[in-house]
Amino acid sequence: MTTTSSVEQVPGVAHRLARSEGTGRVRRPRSTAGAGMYRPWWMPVLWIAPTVIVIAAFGVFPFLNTIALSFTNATPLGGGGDWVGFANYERLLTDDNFWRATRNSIVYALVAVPLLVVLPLMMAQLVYKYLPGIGFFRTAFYAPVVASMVAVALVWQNLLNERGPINTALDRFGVVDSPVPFLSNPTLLLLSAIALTVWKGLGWYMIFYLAALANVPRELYEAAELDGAGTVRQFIHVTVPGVRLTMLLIAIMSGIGSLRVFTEIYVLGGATGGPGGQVQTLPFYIRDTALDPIAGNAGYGAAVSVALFLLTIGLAVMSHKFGAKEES
Amino acid sequence: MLLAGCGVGGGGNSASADGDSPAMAGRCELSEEVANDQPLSGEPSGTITFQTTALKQSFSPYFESLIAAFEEKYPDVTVEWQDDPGDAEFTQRLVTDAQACDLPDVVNLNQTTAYALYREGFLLNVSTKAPDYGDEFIPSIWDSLVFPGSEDHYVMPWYWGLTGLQTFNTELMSQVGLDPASPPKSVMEQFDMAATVAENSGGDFYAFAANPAQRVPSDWQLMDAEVINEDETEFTFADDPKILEWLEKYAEVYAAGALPRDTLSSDVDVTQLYSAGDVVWGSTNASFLRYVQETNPATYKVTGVAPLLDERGTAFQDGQLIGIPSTSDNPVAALAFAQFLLSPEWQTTFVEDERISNFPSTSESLDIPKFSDFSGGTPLDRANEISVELATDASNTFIYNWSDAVNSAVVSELQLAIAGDKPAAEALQDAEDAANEILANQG
Repeated sequence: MTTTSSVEQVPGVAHRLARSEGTGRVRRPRSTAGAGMYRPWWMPVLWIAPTVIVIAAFGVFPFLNTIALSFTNATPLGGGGDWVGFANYERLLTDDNFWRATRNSIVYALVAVPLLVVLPLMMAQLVYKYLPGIGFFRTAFYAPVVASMVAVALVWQNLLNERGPINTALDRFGVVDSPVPFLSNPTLLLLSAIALTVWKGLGWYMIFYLAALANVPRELYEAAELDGAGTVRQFIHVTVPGVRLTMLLIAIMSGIGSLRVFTEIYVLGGATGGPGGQVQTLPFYIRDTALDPIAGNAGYGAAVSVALFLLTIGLAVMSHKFGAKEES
Repeated sequence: MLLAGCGVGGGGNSASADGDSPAMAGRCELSEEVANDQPLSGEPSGTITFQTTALKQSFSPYFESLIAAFEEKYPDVTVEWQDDPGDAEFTQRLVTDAQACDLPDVVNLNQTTAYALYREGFLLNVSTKAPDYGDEFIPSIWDSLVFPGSEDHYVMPWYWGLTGLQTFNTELMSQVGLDPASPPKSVMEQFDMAATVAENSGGDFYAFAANPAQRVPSDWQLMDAEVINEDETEFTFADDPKILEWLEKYAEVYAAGALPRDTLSSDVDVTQLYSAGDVVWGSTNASFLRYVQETNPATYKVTGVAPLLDERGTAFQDGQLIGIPSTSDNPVAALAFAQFLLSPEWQTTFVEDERISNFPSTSESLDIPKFSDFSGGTPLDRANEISVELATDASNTFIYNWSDAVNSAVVSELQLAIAGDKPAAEALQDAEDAANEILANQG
């Protein structure tokens, strides 16, 4: 059955549109004009195939393999291992080291994410307007992003050690009597690593905000100014709502990044993850449990990886819900 | 299944009696030539891959001439040389290669990685495949280079260094009232001297780096303490009163300020600390002296070297190994190349290079002027002189089941005790329990 519609009255259009019988839905026939007539049906498949293959090979397959591994006792060198059911997950529940690493990862994200959402926005505000020489500051703020994390962490290790410039300065100005144990006190070590993550991420997220700020209508600032709003109120009532979606995006991205932290802890805290392993995060714990070629338990490491995945998803959903609530 | 008599070791599976199921290493199927218990035979041919660790940058001419000479001797063989940077991911890369059944045919290994490959059957049994091989090596080294639970050789020794030396800054020792002519003879004596450093240095410098990862299990082995039982199936270190005393003293000198606090867990480079004059004692490995010589000649000049053998009385060696993976497509050519590389002639050429502070594994290569003429009187000469003296009795005491996971678990507990967060006895017991749990789970 064919239904009539206005498009049928347009010459050259009606015959190109076919309707699914009985459903009334419009189905677009294959184009016979322009480039379309030279494009075989498999051409779009060919275009997307490389991306799909790469994602499947390096994303989907490893992910599914990790889930499958988490139900086995596989070792790094010994092949697939045997099916052990939920034994690895049961072990997780009673593993103090796992819970310590989970706690550290959550603390890391809870401290780092707000800082990485707010501070880059402030920096973007500083360098957004064109001023002579502003390019230098934009580059300087972005420079840590392109530096190697290992190199940067080593610099921070030197800055924070007992005889480093920070402790020397604190001592000179009489702020402290004895060196601050940035690298040997677990709490300070965790905070130092968070500070390093935040410092290195500022420039990266600043770029996002610069793009978002360009899309906030100038008229809103002019209207706010006419209404007597000062710089702070303009920031709170115009800028922040204008970049809210970017803030949400950054919260999710930095949250995922914070849960994956490894290098900062490794370089500042050493191979044990701080004294007594007290600053280990989940990726650190995965390395410890899964990758050792002699004693590694790939199955258990995979179970920890799945737990990290669920935590990451949980954080992303929470951020999204929070953002949606704000939006409404 | 342990396969002492077959061509592969550790957990590799041999072919079944009816020959239906192939021999495996991990997920890799092994050739009959490798899996059977017959010596390798036939003329070397084909292409083989040879992997060194962090040697290409400095020693390319040596390896190029070595390969050229080998290919001239065996015209049917082509050697493709590759060099791994030898960074923290070295073992992980080899594990990935093993998982992909794509290990190099001849590979430079450390002891930990070699043991990991052996356990899953990835190494060729040299004793089976070349039964008469090994006479050229220094006997104490060759004889002790067997993995736990096996009497066969699965790896061959290459160049090596010693633990049993101490290097110290004589000037700093004098400053705190210690006599550089009487360096400590035991680990506990060194701790006592560390306490003196804390008392008299005024915080300007320290005794040594605090991280126990750099001292265990070698300190315990020097003290002749019992770290693990003989067949490496159970750690026993918590039961040894010497180790408890060691840990209590360690915590004491840490609390006294003898060790830089921020090095308790961080992997700070001891060589850098020593070179900068921040610590009295440097690395126990003589090869680091060359770095000190290059970076801080003033510190190098006042460096003293002496043996530190404690109750054990003999040094132990740890070195670089050569292994032939059981997955090799050309085991005959691979074995021929390994033997060529490790021959006295080519090892002598290698260690004659002044930049090398390590020792060769063949007895004949020790008889070169570099290892007998120490008239220069420099710290490096002194280190070489002591090393050569100690080399005769040195053996391989490597604890193969002291894996990275065990090390991390033990060191974590020691750090807590050293920082004063846990009583020493409790930390030691927890460390031993954690290590034994890892051992039990690894199968």
